[in-house]
Amino acid sequence: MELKELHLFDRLCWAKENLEPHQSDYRVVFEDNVDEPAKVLVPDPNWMACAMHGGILPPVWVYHELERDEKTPGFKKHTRGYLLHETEPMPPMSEEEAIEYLIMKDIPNHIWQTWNEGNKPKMVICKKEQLPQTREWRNAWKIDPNINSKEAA
Amino acid sequence: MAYGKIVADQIQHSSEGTVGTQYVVSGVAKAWVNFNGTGTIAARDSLNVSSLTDNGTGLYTPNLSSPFANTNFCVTTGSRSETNGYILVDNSYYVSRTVSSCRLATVSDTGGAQDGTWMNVSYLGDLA
Repeated sequence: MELKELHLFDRLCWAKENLEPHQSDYRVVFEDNVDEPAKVLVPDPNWMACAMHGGILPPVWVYHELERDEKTPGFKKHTRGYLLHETEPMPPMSEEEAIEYLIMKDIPNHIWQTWNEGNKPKMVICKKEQLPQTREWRNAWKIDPNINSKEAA
Repeated sequence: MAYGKIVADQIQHSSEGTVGTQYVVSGVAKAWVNFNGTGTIAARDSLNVSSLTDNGTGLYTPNLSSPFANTNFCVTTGSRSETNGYILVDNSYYVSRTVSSCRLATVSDTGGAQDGTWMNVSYLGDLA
């Protein structure tokens, strides 16, 4: 039996035992509610190792399909979980490709699909050291309205 | 590399009896994470977690790689703050719960939002 033939959870367990975690310096700052502070997405090191190894994670469209099912009125339980386990897994990704995948998986669609529409960017990919070094005024953090959208991309 | 599989309905101990493997599968944590919720938050170790979202002071959302079949999964939590000692974690944010995430809120004994230094979260339930 090959790795890609295992259920996704079993592939993740294999990765946990066999792959070295990769601590990414990338962070994704996004705003999805004007009444809430900016949120910061932090990639998980074990997940990054899976993404960069390849053959473990399903294509991101699989998550979007399941998300669509979940939003169907009357949803009680997933019946298309096989998509996670039986779809051909993603090949090895670069660190940057993994971050793009993660954005599409873990940040709401309405943010990353329209990140640069409106008065200022709603999402910024940055390095860890570019974030404030203390959490002072954490609940007032916002994306700088003057940020250059090319830099934000 | 080949990946083997043992198929069995029961596991029997030499003297302590038998247990159905469905109980073993059902009772195992399907995801867990230990993370530092202060500074630039970061996971110390994890299983089946793709990312952590820092939503503000004392507000976190671990996101899962392999989602649950429904939103009725069980979340158990424990937390400690270096400044306030033991702090309470509220994991009952059903409004924002999905099959692959559950928002957590940590508060101090006075009820104010408090970042947790040692955040421990585990998940049980049926995967999709």
